[in-house]
Amino acid sequence: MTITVLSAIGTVGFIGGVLLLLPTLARPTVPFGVRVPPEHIGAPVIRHAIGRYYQGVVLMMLVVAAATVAAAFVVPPEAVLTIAPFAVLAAWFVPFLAARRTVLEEKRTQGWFDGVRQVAVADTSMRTDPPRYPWLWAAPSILIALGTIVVGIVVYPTLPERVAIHFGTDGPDRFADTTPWSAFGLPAVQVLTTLLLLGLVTIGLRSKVDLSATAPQRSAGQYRRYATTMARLILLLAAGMNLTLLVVALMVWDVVPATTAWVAASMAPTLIASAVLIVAAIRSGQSGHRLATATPGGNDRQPPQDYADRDDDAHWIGGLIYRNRDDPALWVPKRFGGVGWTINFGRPAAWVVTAVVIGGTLGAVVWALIAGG
Amino acid sequence: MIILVDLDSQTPLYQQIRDRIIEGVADGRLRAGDPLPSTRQLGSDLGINFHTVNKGYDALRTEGMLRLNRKSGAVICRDQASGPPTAAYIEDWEARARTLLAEAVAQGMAPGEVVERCGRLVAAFAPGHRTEPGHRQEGSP
Repeated sequence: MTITVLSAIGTVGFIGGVLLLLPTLARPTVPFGVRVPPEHIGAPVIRHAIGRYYQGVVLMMLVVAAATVAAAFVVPPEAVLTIAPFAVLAAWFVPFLAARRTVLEEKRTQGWFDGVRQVAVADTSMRTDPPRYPWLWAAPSILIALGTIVVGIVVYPTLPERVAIHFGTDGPDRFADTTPWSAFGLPAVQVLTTLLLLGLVTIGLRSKVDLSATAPQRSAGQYRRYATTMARLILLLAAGMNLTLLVVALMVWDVVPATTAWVAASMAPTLIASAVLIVAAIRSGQSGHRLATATPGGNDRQPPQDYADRDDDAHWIGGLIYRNRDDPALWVPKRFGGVGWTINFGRPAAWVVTAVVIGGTLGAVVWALIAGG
Repeated sequence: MIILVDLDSQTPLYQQIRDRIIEGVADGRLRAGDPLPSTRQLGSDLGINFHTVNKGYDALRTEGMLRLNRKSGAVICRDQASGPPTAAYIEDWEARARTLLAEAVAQGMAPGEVVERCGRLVAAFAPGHRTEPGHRQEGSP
């Protein structure tokens, strides 16, 4: 029980730590998802709101951690471990929405967008000369998945009557009858992971590009570097996850012993690749706004003083969900909430994607039930 | 090439897109044979309806600046090296230029200053005067 409660608290700490980074990762033109004209970037009220946000998130982490310990006396510890991450994310809305309201209120009462010319910027070279798909980086994940399937086919006739389908802290603790469903579950997960992450890279390279009205040339260069790096590291993560699944498959098929050392070794590739991706994301910030450019200030001529990115707050529900029927883009860079992309719910295709994601999740659960017999 | 449109301007968006592309061709950032993004892609990047972009591209096509093709997309097909335009075009252009110059004179700008400013603007379009580092310049194939 103690280990489970400690892992729950560790999870709360990790998620809380990521949530504390969000103001740093967001572009300075959209603090808490509120569009701010250049003149008011880093305004005192925004710095104040960020300070209050930090206090709120730390307080919320302490409350959720205390609640986790208390709950462990009432409900099974495993349930606590499952619920804790959701509790943190739910509680996060309190400091987030409070900070957002502070900035929104100041922007509205002080008329930040009065007399500002709202502009939109595009870089045609992102489309006519786009960053290439890094197939070389995709190769390891594809080869590892194929290799795992080949090993599976070779060892399948020699498998015992029952195979392990679940590993606890002391090695395998659940077994199922050996069928292609139970034996090839892990390669199937590899194939799905690879397809999903390869697809994510395509989305990232084709997504709408976030350019700053006041520094279009510089932000275009930063976005290009950001998109290229993220694409490569997402493919590195795919390779890491497939390597983890390969080692787990080897344990399930009894090719290597299911010892603590092998369990730890199986986790290493995913953890290392995730750490690399997280560090790179923190260093680049959303859309690469934290990346240094070769020449400070880029190659932009001094922009007219009264230009600002368009005030598109109305299309962002809570600063998090994008819904704009007039925008042909399906994938857009996230506004707040880390580094990555989100979907335009103003497009019918967004609902198809949502249905596929929900259907895929349900499908995975059904598979697990069939394999688990 | 960077395309910036002013959403608060009196000038319609399709007109601004058309104008920015013409300026890009004039100062050498775009040349005959250079592709442009599809209307959908440019609409998506600017966050505007792609019919608006389509209207801008269509204006350029009518002027003989752009070739629209289902297979190869939108391609610039005229630039400074394409030779002088037709007499009909020059006549039409002169009529429009006359109105613009009349505005300055009517506002009281000295004719000498009008000519001097015009000279400076045209000189800025000279080949190689303005390049955008980081953008791959490609000539016609």
